[in-house]
Amino acid sequence: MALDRFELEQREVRKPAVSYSDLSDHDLIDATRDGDEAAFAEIVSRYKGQLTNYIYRMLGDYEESIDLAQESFVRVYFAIDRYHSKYAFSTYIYRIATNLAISELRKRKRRKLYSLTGLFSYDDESEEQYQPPDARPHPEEEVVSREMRETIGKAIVSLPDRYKAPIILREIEEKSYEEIAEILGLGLGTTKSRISRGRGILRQRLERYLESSTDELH
Amino acid sequence: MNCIETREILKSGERPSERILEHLRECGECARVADREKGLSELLKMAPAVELPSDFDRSLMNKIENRRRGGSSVSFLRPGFLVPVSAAAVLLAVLAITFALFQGQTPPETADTADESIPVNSSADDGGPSTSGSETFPSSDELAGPVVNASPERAGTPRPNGESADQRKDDEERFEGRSRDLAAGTPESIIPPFFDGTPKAVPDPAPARRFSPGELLAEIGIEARFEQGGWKVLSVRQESIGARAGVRNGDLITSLDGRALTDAPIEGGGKNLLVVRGSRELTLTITP
Repeated sequence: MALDRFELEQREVRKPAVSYSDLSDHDLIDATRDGDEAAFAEIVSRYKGQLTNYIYRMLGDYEESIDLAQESFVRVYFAIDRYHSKYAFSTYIYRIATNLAISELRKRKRRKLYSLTGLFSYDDESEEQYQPPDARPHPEEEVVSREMRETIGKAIVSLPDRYKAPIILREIEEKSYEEIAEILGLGLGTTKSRISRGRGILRQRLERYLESSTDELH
Repeated sequence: MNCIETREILKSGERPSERILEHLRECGECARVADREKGLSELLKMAPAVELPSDFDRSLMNKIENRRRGGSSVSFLRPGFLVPVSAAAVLLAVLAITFALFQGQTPPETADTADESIPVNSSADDGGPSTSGSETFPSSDELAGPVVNASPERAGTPRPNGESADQRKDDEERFEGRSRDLAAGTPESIIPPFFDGTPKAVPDPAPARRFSPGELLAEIGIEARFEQGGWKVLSVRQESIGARAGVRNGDLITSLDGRALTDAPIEGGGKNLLVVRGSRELTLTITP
């Protein structure tokens, strides 16, 4: 029976001879394609932290970041047959995550635009909502640093959308200009220019911290 | 390498090349800029990070399992499924055109039909299309332009598609077979359909939805509060339709196309706002 054969094929999982952690992303994708769920779990464990934080910095919303990071993996999983190794896997998954985050930002803007309560405070360049990630009490000496980190987070999350992803990818994720351009589907020049403009805005918003940090450098 | 070039590169966050480092050794001012830019990069790296919940993996696996069981939207998009769906869509389109021909009408132009499929209006300055497939990355324009001015469709009030007024008029007459009182005979030219009270052509249009005047004004960028005698303008968003019409903070908007604006919802929209500004009464025309 064709169906029986199909089921057998599904169960016939080729386990790699080496540890999953030694395999490249592409090898893990191939193994996942062959039905090896442990290989997919390894991919998740490699990217879940950075991807969630990336989305979190875009949205400033913890719950939504978790949800969208998971959604990114779900999409990878169900589209695994269509994945081509033309680009690095990290480019691919960041691309999906960026799409989801931008889509969420747009939804929020529309909701704001049509909500009578939030409508009039609406401003294209205005601040997104920002939920501090950790409300647990901190030792006294950490309070200032914590406040500074939150201000930095707010400054990034309130950047205009067009600068947000390039800045986070460059300054925090430390990706190359080329990879950022691929993730965002932009030209190299546009990517660099957005990063530069985004930095210009952040330079102004973080002025007071910048002065002290520059002083420390001297 | 001169100072201007050096600072431009430093401010873009690029790692300094050997040539730049050489310049920095000789130029104290540029060296200070370099320190400042380095400081900015270091600050940004201090952005807060979050820890994942312990059930992240389990919750993810549940989502995958649910999606797998529940006929996921992803499998819906697989190419194998798209073929019959596309075929059905083409068949329906052919039937619709045939029906229109039998009615003695000119079939709608392809461009119009294509326009209908665009769900959201994008004005010229809002940066382009507003929707993208979940896995289709938005174009640079989309990224550049968050859909701020674009608005999702409301029930029964299709958004403008960029078509000309004449095309819209033709559409309406073609489909409805009767003349409509387009904005009381005024040149309907550039009024957004939501605001001009002329629902898009459908054989039996549903009754126009009623909106609060505050909501209508918000549509054109005016924040207003109802007071005795009208709507007091609290703010006008820059570059909005309301701002272009000349509405200012403090104006009292008393009527829309001759209909008094109270706190009760009104039907449709209009284009002429009667405004009391100080001791003067002005008529401001909305032109998107």
